[in-house]
Amino acid sequence: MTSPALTVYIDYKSPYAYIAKDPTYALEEEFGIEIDWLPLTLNIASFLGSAKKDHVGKLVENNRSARQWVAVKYAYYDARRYAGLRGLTLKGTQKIWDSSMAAIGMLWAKEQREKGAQKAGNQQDILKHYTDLVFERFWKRELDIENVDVIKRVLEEAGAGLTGFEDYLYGEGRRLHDSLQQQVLEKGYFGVPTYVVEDECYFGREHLPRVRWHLSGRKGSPPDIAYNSVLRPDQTVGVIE
Amino acid sequence: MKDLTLTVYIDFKSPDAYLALDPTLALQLATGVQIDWLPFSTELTQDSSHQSRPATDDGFEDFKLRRQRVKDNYTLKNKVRYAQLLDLSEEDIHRSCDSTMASMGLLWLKDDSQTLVVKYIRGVFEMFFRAHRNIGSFQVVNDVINAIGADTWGFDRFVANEGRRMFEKIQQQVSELGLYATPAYVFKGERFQGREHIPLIKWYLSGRKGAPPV
Repeated sequence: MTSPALTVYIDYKSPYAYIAKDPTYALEEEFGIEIDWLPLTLNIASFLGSAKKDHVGKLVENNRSARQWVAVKYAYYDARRYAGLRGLTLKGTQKIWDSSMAAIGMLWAKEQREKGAQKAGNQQDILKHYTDLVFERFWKRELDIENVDVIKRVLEEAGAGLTGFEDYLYGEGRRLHDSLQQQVLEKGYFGVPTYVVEDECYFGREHLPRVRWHLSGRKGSPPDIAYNSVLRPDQTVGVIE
Repeated sequence: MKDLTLTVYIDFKSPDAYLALDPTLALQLATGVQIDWLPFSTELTQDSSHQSRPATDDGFEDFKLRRQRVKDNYTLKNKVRYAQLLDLSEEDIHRSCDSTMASMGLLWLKDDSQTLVVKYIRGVFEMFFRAHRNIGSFQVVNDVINAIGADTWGFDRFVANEGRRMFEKIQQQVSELGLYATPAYVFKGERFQGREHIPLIKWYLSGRKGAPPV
Protein backbone atom coordinates (compact mmCIF):
# COMPACT_ATOMS: atom_id res chain seq x y z
CA MET A 1 0.00 0.00 0.00
CA THR A 2 1.43 3.39 -0.91
CA SER A 3 1.60 6.16 1.66
CA PRO A 4 -0.92 8.98 1.23
CA ALA A 5 0.46 12.02 -0.54
CA LEU A 6 -0.52 14.18 2.43
CA THR A 7 -1.45 13.36 6.00
CA VAL A 8 -2.94 16.10 8.15
CA TYR A 9 -3.39 15.96 11.89
CA ILE A 10 -6.10 18.12 13.47
CA ASP A 11 -7.90 18.62 16.76
CA TYR A 12 -11.43 20.04 16.82
CA LYS A 13 -10.68 22.12 19.90
CA SER A 14 -7.83 23.97 18.20
CA PRO A 15 -8.75 27.34 16.68
CA TYR A 16 -5.73 27.11 14.38
CA ALA A 17 -6.85 23.74 13.06
CA TYR A 18 -10.28 25.26 12.37
CA ILE A 19 -8.76 28.17 10.45
CA ALA A 20 -6.54 25.76 8.51
CA LYS A 21 -9.34 23.38 7.54
CA ASP A 22 -10.54 25.01 4.33
CA PRO A 23 -7.12 26.07 2.96
CA THR A 24 -6.04 22.48 3.62
CA TYR A 25 -9.05 20.94 1.88
CA ALA A 26 -8.29 23.21 -1.09
CA LEU A 27 -5.10 21.17 -1.60
CA GLU A 28 -7.20 18.14 -2.53
CA GLU A 29 -8.63 20.01 -5.48
CA GLU A 30 -5.36 21.70 -6.37
CA PHE A 31 -3.33 18.48 -6.43
CA GLY A 32 -5.96 15.85 -7.11
CA ILE A 33 -5.20 14.04 -3.87
CA GLU A 34 -7.23 12.69 -1.00
CA ILE A 35 -5.85 13.85 2.32
CA ASP A 36 -5.43 11.31 5.09
CA TRP A 37 -6.94 13.13 8.06
CA LEU A 38 -5.94 11.92 11.51
CA PRO A 39 -6.63 13.18 15.02
CA LEU A 40 -3.94 14.58 17.24
CA THR A 41 -5.72 15.18 20.52
CA LEU A 42 -3.91 17.98 22.28
CA ASN A 43 -3.20 17.86 25.98
CA ILE A 44 -3.53 21.61 26.35
CA ALA A 45 -2.62 21.67 30.03
CA SER A 46 0.78 20.20 29.19
CA PHE A 47 1.90 23.33 27.30
CA LEU A 48 -0.58 26.12 27.98
CA GLY A 49 -1.67 25.31 31.50
CA SER A 50 -5.38 25.19 32.23
CA ALA A 51 -8.17 27.57 33.14
CA LYS A 52 -11.91 27.54 33.44
CA LYS A 53 -14.51 30.29 33.10
CA ASP A 54 -18.07 30.36 34.38
CA HIS A 55 -21.11 31.06 32.20
CA VAL A 56 -20.54 34.82 32.38
CA GLY A 57 -16.89 34.56 31.46
CA LYS A 58 -15.42 35.01 34.89
CA LEU A 59 -12.26 33.06 35.57
CA VAL A 60 -12.99 30.44 38.22
CA GLU A 61 -9.91 28.26 37.88
CA ASN A 62 -6.42 29.30 36.82
CA ASN A 63 -3.37 27.10 36.41
CA ARG A 64 -1.58 29.25 33.84
CA SER A 65 1.55 31.31 34.20
CA ALA A 66 1.61 34.93 33.06
CA ARG A 67 3.65 33.88 30.04
CA GLN A 68 1.10 31.21 29.12
CA TRP A 69 -1.73 33.74 29.36
CA VAL A 70 0.11 36.08 26.99
CA ALA A 71 0.50 33.24 24.50
CA VAL A 72 -3.15 32.15 24.80
CA LYS A 73 -4.48 35.68 24.44
CA TYR A 74 -2.42 36.36 21.35
CA ALA A 75 -3.35 32.99 19.83
CA TYR A 76 -7.08 33.71 20.15
CA TYR A 77 -6.61 37.30 18.94
CA ASP A 78 -4.82 36.03 15.86
CA ALA A 79 -7.19 33.15 15.17
CA ARG A 80 -10.21 35.46 15.50
CA ARG A 81 -8.63 37.87 13.08
CA TYR A 82 -8.43 35.28 10.32
CA ALA A 83 -11.76 33.74 11.27
CA GLY A 84 -13.39 37.15 11.03
CA LEU A 85 -11.94 37.74 7.58
CA ARG A 86 -13.72 34.59 6.42
CA GLY A 87 -16.96 35.13 8.30
CA LEU A 88 -16.32 32.27 10.72
CA THR A 89 -17.43 32.45 14.36
CA LEU A 90 -14.75 31.70 16.91
CA LYS A 91 -15.96 32.05 20.47
CA GLY A 92 -13.39 31.46 23.18
CA THR A 93 -13.82 28.18 24.98
CA GLN A 94 -14.80 28.26 28.62
CA LYS A 95 -12.83 25.22 29.64
CA ILE A 96 -10.28 22.76 28.32
CA TRP A 97 -12.35 20.23 26.42
CA ASP A 98 -11.66 16.53 26.02
CA SER A 99 -11.94 16.23 22.26
CA SER A 100 -11.07 12.54 22.08
CA MET A 101 -14.69 11.52 21.56
CA ALA A 102 -15.04 13.88 18.62
CA ALA A 103 -11.72 12.51 17.33
CA ILE A 104 -13.02 8.96 17.50
CA GLY A 105 -16.08 10.20 15.66
CA MET A 106 -13.68 11.40 12.96
CA LEU A 107 -12.12 7.95 12.75
CA TRP A 108 -15.60 6.41 12.49
CA ALA A 109 -16.63 8.85 9.75
CA LYS A 110 -13.41 8.03 7.93
CA GLU A 111 -14.08 4.30 8.10
CA GLN A 112 -17.63 4.84 6.94
CA ARG A 113 -16.39 6.80 3.97
CA GLU A 114 -13.81 4.16 3.12
CA LYS A 115 -16.41 1.43 3.31
CA GLY A 116 -18.58 3.48 1.00
CA ALA A 117 -21.36 3.22 3.55
CA GLN A 118 -23.09 6.42 2.56
CA LYS A 119 -26.77 6.79 3.01
CA ALA A 120 -28.79 6.69 -0.15
CA GLY A 121 -28.84 10.05 -1.87
CA ASN A 122 -26.10 11.52 0.28
CA GLN A 123 -23.34 12.40 -2.12
CA GLN A 124 -21.26 14.36 0.35
CA ASP A 125 -17.97 13.23 1.75
CA ILE A 126 -19.01 11.95 5.19
CA LEU A 127 -15.71 12.83 6.81
CA LYS A 128 -15.63 16.36 5.39
CA HIS A 129 -19.23 16.96 6.36
CA TYR A 130 -18.61 15.67 9.87
CA THR A 131 -15.49 17.78 10.25
CA ASP A 132 -17.23 20.87 8.93
CA LEU A 133 -20.17 20.39 11.31
CA VAL A 134 -18.05 19.72 14.38
CA PHE A 135 -15.73 22.64 13.83
CA GLU A 136 -18.44 25.17 13.02
CA ARG A 137 -20.76 24.25 15.86
CA PHE A 138 -18.09 23.71 18.49
CA TRP A 139 -16.64 27.15 17.89
CA LYS A 140 -20.09 28.67 18.13
CA ARG A 141 -20.41 26.94 21.52
CA GLU A 142 -23.30 24.91 20.09
CA LEU A 143 -21.74 21.46 20.45
CA ASP A 144 -20.88 19.44 23.52
CA ILE A 145 -18.13 17.29 22.08
CA GLU A 146 -17.92 15.27 25.28
CA ASN A 147 -21.49 13.98 24.87
CA VAL A 148 -21.86 10.71 22.97
CA ASP A 149 -25.43 11.46 21.88
CA VAL A 150 -24.30 14.79 20.45
CA ILE A 151 -21.50 13.11 18.49
CA LYS A 152 -23.91 10.48 17.23
CA ARG A 153 -26.34 13.13 15.98
CA VAL A 154 -23.57 14.92 14.12
CA LEU A 155 -22.37 11.68 12.56
CA GLU A 156 -25.88 10.89 11.43
CA GLU A 157 -26.33 14.37 10.00
CA ALA A 158 -23.04 13.95 8.16
CA GLY A 159 -24.41 10.80 6.54
CA ALA A 160 -22.65 8.16 8.60
CA GLY A 161 -24.36 4.99 9.71
CA LEU A 162 -24.45 4.53 13.47
CA THR A 163 -24.74 0.77 13.81
CA GLY A 164 -21.91 -0.31 16.07
CA PHE A 165 -20.70 3.20 16.78
CA GLU A 166 -20.98 3.04 20.56
CA ASP A 167 -19.11 -0.26 20.67
CA TYR A 168 -16.48 1.34 18.44
CA LEU A 169 -16.35 4.47 20.58
CA TYR A 170 -15.55 2.57 23.79
CA GLY A 171 -13.65 -0.30 22.15
CA GLU A 172 -11.76 -0.42 18.89
CA GLY A 173 -12.07 3.29 18.18
CA ARG A 174 -10.72 4.28 21.58
CA ARG A 175 -7.85 1.85 21.21
CA LEU A 176 -7.04 3.18 17.74
CA HIS A 177 -7.25 6.78 18.93
CA ASP A 178 -5.05 6.20 21.96
CA SER A 179 -2.55 4.23 19.90
CA LEU A 180 -2.36 7.09 17.40
CA GLN A 181 -1.68 9.54 20.23
CA GLN A 182 1.19 7.37 21.47
CA GLN A 183 2.63 7.30 17.96
CA VAL A 184 2.46 11.01 17.22
CA LEU A 185 5.05 12.04 19.79
CA GLU A 186 7.28 9.17 18.72
CA LYS A 187 7.03 10.43 15.15
CA GLY A 188 7.93 13.95 16.24
CA TYR A 189 4.51 15.57 15.99
CA PHE A 190 3.12 17.69 18.80
CA GLY A 191 0.65 20.29 17.53
CA VAL A 192 -2.08 20.99 15.01
CA PRO A 193 -2.43 21.37 12.20
CA THR A 194 0.52 19.15 11.29
CA TYR A 195 1.15 18.28 7.66
CA VAL A 196 3.20 15.25 6.70
CA VAL A 197 4.51 14.86 3.15
CA GLU A 198 6.98 12.06 2.45
CA ASP A 199 7.97 11.92 6.12
CA GLU A 200 8.63 15.67 6.18
CA CYS A 201 6.62 17.30 8.94
CA TYR A 202 5.27 20.85 8.96
CA PHE A 203 3.50 22.32 11.97
CA GLY A 204 1.15 25.18 11.17
CA ARG A 205 -0.67 26.42 8.09
CA GLU A 206 2.06 29.00 7.52
CA HIS A 207 3.91 26.14 5.86
CA LEU A 208 1.22 25.60 3.22
CA PRO A 209 3.38 27.31 0.55
CA ARG A 210 6.10 24.78 1.26
CA VAL A 211 3.61 21.92 1.46
CA ARG A 212 2.39 22.94 -2.01
CA TRP A 213 5.97 23.10 -3.26
CA HIS A 214 6.60 19.69 -1.79
CA LEU A 215 3.45 18.19 -3.34
CA SER A 216 4.46 19.72 -6.68
CA GLY A 217 7.70 17.76 -6.68
CA ARG A 218 10.00 20.28 -4.98
CA LYS A 219 10.68 22.17 -8.17
CA GLY A 220 12.62 25.39 -7.93
CA SER A 221 13.57 27.14 -4.72
CA PRO A 222 11.47 26.36 -1.68
CA PRO A 223 9.16 29.17 -0.62
CA ASP A 224 9.08 30.92 2.75
CA ILE A 225 6.29 30.69 5.29
CA ALA A 226 3.16 32.72 4.62
CA TYR A 227 -0.53 32.82 5.36
CA ASN A 228 -1.27 33.25 1.68
CA SER A 229 -4.15 30.93 0.88
CA VAL A 230 -6.85 32.74 -1.07
CA LEU A 231 -10.10 30.81 -1.09
CA ARG A 232 -13.03 30.99 -3.45
CA PRO A 233 -16.41 31.65 -1.83
CA ASP A 234 -17.39 28.00 -2.32
CA GLN A 235 -14.20 26.86 -0.61
CA THR A 236 -14.78 28.91 2.49
CA VAL A 237 -18.30 27.92 3.45
CA GLY A 238 -18.00 25.45 6.27
CA VAL A 239 -21.27 23.62 6.27
CA ILE A 240 -23.41 22.80 3.31
CA GLU A 241 -26.98 23.18 4.57
CA MET B 1 -0.57 58.35 2.82
CA LYS B 2 1.43 60.34 5.41
CA ASP B 3 0.18 58.33 8.36
CA LEU B 4 0.84 54.98 6.72
CA THR B 5 3.41 53.68 9.16
CA LEU B 6 4.15 50.09 9.95
CA THR B 7 6.05 49.44 13.16
CA VAL B 8 8.34 46.43 12.91
CA TYR B 9 9.96 44.99 16.00
CA ILE B 10 13.04 42.87 15.48
CA ASP B 11 15.47 41.01 17.68
CA PHE B 12 18.93 40.84 16.18
CA LYS B 13 19.56 37.38 17.60
CA SER B 14 16.42 35.95 15.98
CA PRO B 15 16.86 34.06 12.69
CA ASP B 16 13.16 34.63 12.05
CA ALA B 17 13.73 38.38 12.25
CA TYR B 18 16.63 38.07 9.81
CA LEU B 19 14.48 36.00 7.46
CA ALA B 20 11.80 38.69 7.65
CA LEU B 21 14.10 41.53 6.60
CA ASP B 22 13.89 41.18 2.81
CA PRO B 23 10.18 40.24 2.69
CA THR B 24 9.45 43.28 4.86
CA LEU B 25 11.49 45.53 2.59
CA ALA B 26 9.66 44.05 -0.38
CA LEU B 27 6.37 44.91 1.34
CA GLN B 28 7.61 48.47 1.75
CA LEU B 29 8.59 48.67 -1.90
CA ALA B 30 5.27 47.28 -3.07
CA THR B 31 3.06 49.48 -0.89
CA GLY B 32 5.08 52.59 -0.07
CA VAL B 33 4.49 52.11 3.64
CA GLN B 34 6.82 53.91 6.03
CA ILE B 35 8.52 51.52 8.41
CA ASP B 36 9.49 52.34 11.96
CA TRP B 37 12.08 49.73 12.84
CA LEU B 38 12.30 49.14 16.58
CA PRO B 39 14.34 46.68 18.58
CA PHE B 40 12.89 44.13 20.93
CA SER B 41 14.87 41.57 22.82
CA THR B 42 13.08 38.31 23.37
CA GLU B 43 13.99 36.07 26.28
CA LEU B 44 17.70 35.53 26.24
CA THR B 45 17.69 31.76 26.49
CA GLN B 46 15.18 29.00 26.21
CA ASP B 47 15.00 26.74 29.22
CA SER B 48 16.66 23.63 27.88
CA SER B 49 17.01 21.94 31.25
CA HIS B 50 14.22 19.55 30.27
CA GLN B 51 16.52 18.02 27.67
CA SER B 52 18.54 16.34 30.40
CA ARG B 53 15.90 16.00 33.08
CA PRO B 54 15.41 12.38 34.20
CA ALA B 55 12.08 10.62 33.89
CA THR B 56 9.75 10.82 36.86
CA ASP B 57 6.94 8.68 38.19
CA ASP B 58 4.44 11.40 37.27
CA GLY B 59 2.83 10.48 33.93
CA PHE B 60 1.67 14.02 33.20
CA GLU B 61 5.04 15.57 33.98
CA ASP B 62 6.74 12.95 31.85
CA PHE B 63 4.38 13.70 29.00
CA LYS B 64 5.11 17.42 29.35
CA LEU B 65 8.82 16.75 29.18
CA ARG B 66 8.54 14.43 26.19
CA ARG B 67 6.33 16.87 24.34
CA GLN B 68 8.65 19.78 25.04
CA ARG B 69 11.62 17.80 23.76
CA VAL B 70 9.76 16.87 20.59
CA LYS B 71 8.73 20.48 20.11
CA ASP B 72 12.24 21.80 20.67
CA ASN B 73 13.70 19.29 18.22
CA TYR B 74 11.12 20.28 15.63
CA THR B 75 11.68 23.99 16.26
CA LEU B 76 15.38 23.67 15.59
CA LYS B 77 14.83 21.51 12.51
CA ASN B 78 12.29 24.04 11.22
CA LYS B 79 14.61 26.98 11.81
CA VAL B 80 17.38 25.16 9.91
CA ARG B 81 14.97 24.36 7.08
CA TYR B 82 14.07 27.99 6.49
CA ALA B 83 17.53 29.33 7.34
CA GLN B 84 18.65 27.60 4.16
CA LEU B 85 16.73 30.30 2.30
CA LEU B 86 19.52 32.62 3.47
CA ASP B 87 22.24 29.99 3.00
CA LEU B 88 22.66 29.79 6.77
CA SER B 89 23.67 26.58 8.48
CA GLU B 90 22.58 25.12 11.80
CA GLU B 91 25.82 26.37 13.30
CA ASP B 92 25.03 29.87 12.04
CA ILE B 93 21.63 30.06 13.66
CA HIS B 94 21.97 27.91 16.75
CA ARG B 95 23.54 30.72 18.70
CA SER B 96 22.45 33.17 21.30
CA CYS B 97 23.63 36.41 22.80
CA ASP B 98 22.46 39.53 24.57
CA SER B 99 21.25 41.72 21.72
CA THR B 100 20.73 44.82 23.88
CA MET B 101 23.80 46.63 22.56
CA ALA B 102 22.79 46.01 18.95
CA SER B 103 19.28 47.17 19.84
CA MET B 104 20.63 50.43 21.20
CA GLY B 105 22.60 50.84 18.00
CA LEU B 106 19.31 50.78 16.09
CA LEU B 107 17.89 53.40 18.42
CA TRP B 108 21.03 55.53 17.92
CA LEU B 109 20.20 55.67 14.22
CA LYS B 110 16.49 56.27 14.73
CA ASP B 111 16.49 59.74 13.25
CA ASP B 112 18.74 58.80 10.35
CA SER B 113 17.59 57.88 6.89
CA GLN B 114 15.78 54.64 6.18
CA THR B 115 18.68 53.69 3.97
CA LEU B 116 21.15 53.91 6.85
CA VAL B 117 18.80 52.16 9.23
CA VAL B 118 18.36 49.24 6.86
CA LYS B 119 22.11 49.09 6.22
CA TYR B 120 22.66 48.91 9.96
CA ILE B 121 20.04 46.20 10.44
CA ARG B 122 21.47 44.09 7.65
CA GLY B 123 25.00 44.73 8.89
CA VAL B 124 24.21 43.54 12.39
CA PHE B 125 22.40 40.43 11.19
CA GLU B 126 25.35 39.54 8.99
CA MET B 127 27.80 40.24 11.78
CA PHE B 128 25.94 37.87 14.11
CA PHE B 129 24.74 35.09 11.82
CA ARG B 130 27.51 34.98 9.23
CA ALA B 131 30.59 36.39 10.93
CA HIS B 132 29.58 34.94 14.33
CA ARG B 133 30.55 38.14 16.10
CA ASN B 134 29.24 39.14 19.49
CA ILE B 135 26.65 41.84 18.87
CA GLY B 136 26.44 42.38 22.59
CA SER B 137 29.85 44.02 22.37
CA PHE B 138 30.05 47.80 22.22
CA GLN B 139 33.03 47.61 19.87
CA VAL B 140 31.32 45.30 17.40
CA VAL B 141 28.20 47.47 17.25
CA ASN B 142 30.26 50.66 17.06
CA ASP B 143 32.19 49.16 14.13
CA VAL B 144 28.95 48.39 12.28
CA ILE B 145 27.76 51.97 12.74
CA ASN B 146 31.11 53.22 11.45
CA ALA B 147 31.08 50.84 8.52
CA ILE B 148 27.73 52.11 7.25
CA GLY B 149 28.99 55.68 7.35
CA ALA B 150 27.01 56.90 10.35
CA ASP B 151 28.38 59.03 13.15
CA THR B 152 29.48 57.25 16.33
CA TRP B 153 30.47 60.31 18.32
CA GLY B 154 28.54 60.10 21.59
CA PHE B 155 27.38 56.53 21.05
CA ASP B 156 29.21 55.43 24.21
CA ARG B 157 27.30 57.97 26.32
CA PHE B 158 24.08 57.05 24.54
CA VAL B 159 24.27 53.38 25.46
CA ALA B 160 25.06 54.26 29.08
CA ASN B 161 22.14 56.64 29.44
CA GLU B 162 19.41 57.63 26.99
CA GLY B 163 19.80 54.59 24.78
CA ARG B 164 19.26 52.20 27.62
CA ARG B 165 16.22 54.14 28.84
CA MET B 166 14.73 54.14 25.35
CA PHE B 167 15.36 50.43 24.94
CA GLU B 168 13.79 49.54 28.27
CA LYS B 169 10.78 51.72 27.49
CA ILE B 170 10.27 49.89 24.20
CA GLN B 171 10.58 46.54 25.96
CA GLN B 172 7.83 47.63 28.32
CA GLN B 173 5.65 48.83 25.43
CA VAL B 174 6.02 45.55 23.58
CA SER B 175 5.15 43.63 26.70
CA GLU B 176 2.03 45.77 27.14
CA LEU B 177 1.08 45.03 23.54
CA GLY B 178 1.09 41.33 24.41
CA LEU B 179 3.87 40.52 21.96
CA TYR B 180 6.66 38.14 22.81
CA ALA B 181 8.41 37.11 19.60
CA THR B 182 9.93 38.77 16.57
CA PRO B 183 9.45 39.87 13.96
CA ALA B 184 6.32 41.59 15.15
CA TYR B 185 4.34 44.10 13.14
CA VAL B 186 1.91 46.73 14.37
CA PHE B 187 -0.29 48.56 11.87
CA LYS B 188 -3.05 50.92 12.98
CA GLY B 189 -3.11 49.20 16.35
CA GLU B 190 -3.40 45.70 14.92
CA ARG B 191 -0.67 43.30 16.03
CA PHE B 192 0.94 40.58 13.97
CA GLN B 193 3.55 38.22 15.27
CA GLY B 194 5.60 36.54 12.55
CA ARG B 195 6.48 37.19 8.90
CA GLU B 196 3.72 34.80 7.82
CA HIS B 197 1.33 37.73 8.19
CA ILE B 198 3.02 39.81 5.50
CA PRO B 199 0.46 38.81 2.82
CA LEU B 200 -2.39 40.08 5.02
CA ILE B 201 -0.57 43.30 5.89
CA LYS B 202 0.01 43.83 2.18
CA TRP B 203 -3.67 43.20 1.51
CA TYR B 204 -4.57 45.84 4.10
CA LEU B 205 -2.08 48.33 2.66
CA SER B 206 -3.31 47.67 -0.88
CA GLY B 207 -6.88 48.59 -0.09
CA ARG B 208 -8.33 45.20 0.95
CA LYS B 209 -9.19 44.28 -2.61
CA GLY B 210 -10.38 40.78 -3.37
CA ALA B 211 -10.48 37.84 -1.00
CA PRO B 212 -8.08 38.14 1.93
CA PRO B 213 -5.12 35.79 2.19
CA VAL B 214 -5.53 33.45 5.17
